[in-house]
Amino acid sequence: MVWNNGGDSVKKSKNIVPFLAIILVVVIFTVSFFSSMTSDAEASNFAMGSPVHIKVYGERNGDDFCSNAFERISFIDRAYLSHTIATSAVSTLNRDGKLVSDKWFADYLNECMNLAEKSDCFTLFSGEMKKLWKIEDGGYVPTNEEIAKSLENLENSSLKIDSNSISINNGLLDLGALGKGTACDEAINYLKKQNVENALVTVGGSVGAIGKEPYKIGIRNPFGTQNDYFAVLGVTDCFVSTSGDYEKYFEKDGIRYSHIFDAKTGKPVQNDVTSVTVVADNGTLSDFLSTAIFCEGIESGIALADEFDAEVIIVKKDKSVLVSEELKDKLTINDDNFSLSVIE
Amino acid sequence: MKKLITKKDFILLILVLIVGVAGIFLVNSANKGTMAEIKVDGETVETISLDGEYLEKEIGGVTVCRENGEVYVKEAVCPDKVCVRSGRISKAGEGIICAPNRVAVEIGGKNENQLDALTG
Repeated sequence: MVWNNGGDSVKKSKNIVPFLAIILVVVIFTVSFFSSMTSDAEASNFAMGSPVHIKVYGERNGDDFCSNAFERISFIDRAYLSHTIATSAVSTLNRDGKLVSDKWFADYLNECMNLAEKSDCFTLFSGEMKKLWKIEDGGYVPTNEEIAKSLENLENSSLKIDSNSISINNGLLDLGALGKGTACDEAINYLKKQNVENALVTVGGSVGAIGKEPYKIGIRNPFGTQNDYFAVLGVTDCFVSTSGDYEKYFEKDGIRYSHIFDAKTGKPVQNDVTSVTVVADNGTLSDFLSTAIFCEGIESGIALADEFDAEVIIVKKDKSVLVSEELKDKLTINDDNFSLSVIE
Repeated sequence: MKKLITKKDFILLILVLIVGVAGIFLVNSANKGTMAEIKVDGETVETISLDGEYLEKEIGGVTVCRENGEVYVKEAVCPDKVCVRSGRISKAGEGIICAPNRVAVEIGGKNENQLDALTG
């Protein structure tokens, strides 16, 4: 009896191992099955004349979320902001001088006007200056008379919003300085509504990020090519935008003319800054601030950022970098040619 | 008394583990490669290996070249020529974008230091 019992227990213990192996196989297959169901998805496309990149992490319907988020951005472009599509709200306003719009666009324009008022150098009517300087057509340096005339026009430009009736007086509306940030806002809002927890949206130089862990967001090297970055910013749950003079510009007689205009001078911005990166909790704001600070220059630019509780990274033409106190521990410089100092 | 786990059982367990781990690597390796993808409107229209002789391809107004294991944009029908100024790429995750023509050239795969996003 004792021997038999012993035999049984040996038998039993022998049977457990293949059983364990089967469980292990089942576990591995279940894990890989579920991990294939909740995978990372991404989509790349173009809107607003810029590359759009959307990543959604760890969701079952990641691909659908990506394409719907892109569709939202594409819609904002087509329906409202585009100045190449003739039926957009901006094109209609610039052509007809008036528009009966939906609530979204009327509210949005109000928000843009409130932001624009914060900086004398920033204007929503840069369209005419861009046209005069032939920014999208190889570039042209106008005569002083031409510049003076466009400045006079700019001063008389205004926008009137009466509930949903919008009218424009004397000027060409151009929302290119805020639109890419707005596109990030819209895409992130959509993804949040779908309960997505980890996602990144990039539209041109603007990024919107939601997630538990900080993302590695590279900051373009203003002196390098499309893939070069001089620093990495580790942040999440925020919006990041960069404006600079190094991507879209033209050169005449050894002078570089950027596509960003100073509304005070009527000329492309000329100062000691080459790029401005802003971190804020709203994409339209970060995009506005990066352009406005680039126009304002260092001193009044930093004051403007403070007014909105936004953080900045300003790169000067001499490769010195100014960073807000709040960002200094989140920023890693990976190019020794750049020297970092913290804004007091 | 016999041992609770025999040598054969142990081998079986190890085999199961190897199959499992190999499976995971098989799935992950789909992301790696030394290929350049040329995309129009986000859709891949052409995939070229980085290895091979000099090659020139004109897609959507953009002339993409392969030379010495790198790719670059030689010419483009666009006003800003940002893509032509982008230089040569060969590392996983790098890309060249021609926004006016809605063309992107991307090196597939992942590398350790890869960024999640780029602002600028």
